[in-house]
Amino acid sequence: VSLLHDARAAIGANPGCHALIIGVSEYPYLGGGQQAVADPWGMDQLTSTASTAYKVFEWLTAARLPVPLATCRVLLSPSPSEAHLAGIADHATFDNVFQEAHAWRADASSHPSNVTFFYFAGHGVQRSKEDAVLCLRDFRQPPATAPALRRAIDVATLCGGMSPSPTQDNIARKQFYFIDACRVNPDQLGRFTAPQTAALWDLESGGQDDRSAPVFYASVSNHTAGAIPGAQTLFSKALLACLTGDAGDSLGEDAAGNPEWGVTVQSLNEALQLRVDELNRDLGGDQSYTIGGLLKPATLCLLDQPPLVDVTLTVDPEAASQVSRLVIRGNGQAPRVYNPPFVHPVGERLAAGSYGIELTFNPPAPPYVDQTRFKEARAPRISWKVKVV
Amino acid sequence: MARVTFRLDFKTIELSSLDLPIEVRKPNATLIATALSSETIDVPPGAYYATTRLPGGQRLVAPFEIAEPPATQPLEVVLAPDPEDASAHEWEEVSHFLGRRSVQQSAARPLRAGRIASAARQVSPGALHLRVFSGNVVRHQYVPEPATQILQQVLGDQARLVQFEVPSGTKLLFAQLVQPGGPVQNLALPVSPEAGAQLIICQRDGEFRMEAHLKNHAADMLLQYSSYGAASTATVASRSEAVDGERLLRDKTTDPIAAAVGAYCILRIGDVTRLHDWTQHLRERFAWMPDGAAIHGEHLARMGSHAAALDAFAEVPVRGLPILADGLFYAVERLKLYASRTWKGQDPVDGRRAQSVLDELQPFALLMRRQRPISAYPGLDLSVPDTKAAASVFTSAGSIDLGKWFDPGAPDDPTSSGPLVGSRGG
Repeated sequence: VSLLHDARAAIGANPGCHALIIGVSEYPYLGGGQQAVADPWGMDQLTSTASTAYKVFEWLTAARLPVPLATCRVLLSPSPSEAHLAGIADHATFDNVFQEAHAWRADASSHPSNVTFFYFAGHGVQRSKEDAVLCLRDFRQPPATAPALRRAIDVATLCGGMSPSPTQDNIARKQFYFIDACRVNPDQLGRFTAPQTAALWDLESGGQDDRSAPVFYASVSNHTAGAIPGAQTLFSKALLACLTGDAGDSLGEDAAGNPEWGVTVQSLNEALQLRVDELNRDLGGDQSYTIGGLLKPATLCLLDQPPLVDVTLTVDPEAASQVSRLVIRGNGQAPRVYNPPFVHPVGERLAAGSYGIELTFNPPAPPYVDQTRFKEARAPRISWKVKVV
Repeated sequence: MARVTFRLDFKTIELSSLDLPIEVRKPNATLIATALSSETIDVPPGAYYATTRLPGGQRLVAPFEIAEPPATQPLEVVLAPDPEDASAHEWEEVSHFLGRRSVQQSAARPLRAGRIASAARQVSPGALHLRVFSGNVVRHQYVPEPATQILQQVLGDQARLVQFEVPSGTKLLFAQLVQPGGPVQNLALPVSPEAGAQLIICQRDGEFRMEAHLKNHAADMLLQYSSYGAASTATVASRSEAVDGERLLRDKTTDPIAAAVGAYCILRIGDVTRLHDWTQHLRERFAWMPDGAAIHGEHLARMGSHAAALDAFAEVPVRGLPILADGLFYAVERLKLYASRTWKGQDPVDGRRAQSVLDELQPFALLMRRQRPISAYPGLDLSVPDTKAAASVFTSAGSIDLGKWFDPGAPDDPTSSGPLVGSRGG
């Protein structure tokens, strides 16, 4: 079982979204596994990556996408602590990934307006900067003399094989990739000259690559991805928060003049940087985030309402907050009034938009002088500062 | 509908004349239009605000209203930085607003590349050296240059920042920052044959950092937007004539660095139809510039011509290390695929040749980070990237002793100790 969602019959010849989601927690041949090899390169069992992949699947089936969700293929290798996921989907072995990736690509090739979604959570390694190798469940399967990365795939080949070409001219032109894996460079890999991953597919010459194909990486080179044990990865927590509102931005207005909201490549990139940083700080994580691939603007999902923005307002110097009156007004909302002395810095959760800020001193309190500013509240959070001297 | 124009109000003409990407939104953030600040747009009656975000992280916001019926004359909307966002000095305004945005630095893990760690906080004369080299570092064909003669100090804040002008030329130049007993950083200098480049050394949070800026400020801005993934903003910014590579080449300009930035941006946002055939001209006309070969190679690969792309990528090590990091990574990522995968079609790719070219470039890719848009990597020998520390006793003829500039015990007035090299004032 891997095709956990199949609406192809209902969608017919219309464009749809085709997803491939892979979550690997159990690695039998790595440290702590039932058939662990003598030198597992310092890589052990994971506890939350299969759960994370399943959360992403649940989000995808509920999300408002630009085109309907047509197929969602899911491969999961849960850890013992993720027993609730056992049997839900086939294991994420190389053979299964190979088979499902080809089926996924075939579906994606039915219409250029299709959209694809790829998500991987599990171990990852890298052979050089800007390289991402995804380790599948049977990674390091004996014999020990087998090619080191034969049960792994690399992102460059994955994305390269999804490029438009003479034999897949109608492949989806919007492709979103999410790599939620560490990208460590084990010392043992240095023993090999140009170690190669298993070939997912041959690559084909010809065809103009005019895709929007961003790759959102959870962890920059040589850093380990973080997770909340037994729950989900830090990156997925940030990602799902962003996709459900934190990365919201205006998509303009529809034909009737109604505002439309959604998550775009740019808004997701900017919000992920902020949210991953916050999670690191709040949970003591060591997660990083970067983006690669082809960044042609595109919309990932639609939202029902404008985003709310966490606003922090500071007055410079802080002592002025003891004698000033602060009013925040605008965007059709009731003014927020703070009489002196007010708690500093000021924290507000405001709807996205523009606001006027007035700081007044009555009676006058030199050297401070009255100030008026116009600031923008942009999701997910923003810091405003007003200097009063 | 009313016509709306924009005016930028910075301290310097360089920034006020920039073509900034601007969004026009309703008070509830609904996006109405995107435009360059040089463009005129039509807007129906109502309340709006114009907003733009600079690479330094500052946001400019200006509310405006279109009355009913609209005036016949265009409404000019003025965008200016708030007082709290202004730069400390007028001469620092360009790097203040166009330098790497602060949010990126705080959001991501601190970037190590390009920095020299902080044991150097207590520097003293002789404890921090700036050197300059020229040539092809990929093929070990590089030589030292007299830094004290090549770099012109513009101004600086003692113990915090120093800014140099790099004169125009067609040599591939690298700045090297050496802290004896500490790491060594190398940074390619984006020297335009028309206008030179700018080099800034600053101390921030106890670390020393090298930053290079293009003299074409529109290209410099686009480079920053593009490098941190601001896809929509970069798409608008790349429409500016100042970075239109096709126009730059057509007008016989000698600023191929700006043209290269425009091309890299278009490749990043995947809009290859805008490249037409001018990437080939860039490669052919500026044979000294590695980026021309890398850009044309990636363009060819995007068009599906992989054998021809390999020909172009093979020229990269012959020319040298690309000035902009995208060039190296486009080449290396393609070469890895060419070397490792079977190719179908009428255009066979020579995997062995790809591996041979890859072997020359790979050592640099191992220690460079794409998040830094201008090529930067560690290593005292510029042809052998590594993270080894420099010798604790280090001397170098022709280098600039930055220790006396960043020495916390130095006089407050930088001019009292004299400039490091020939000063142009400013």
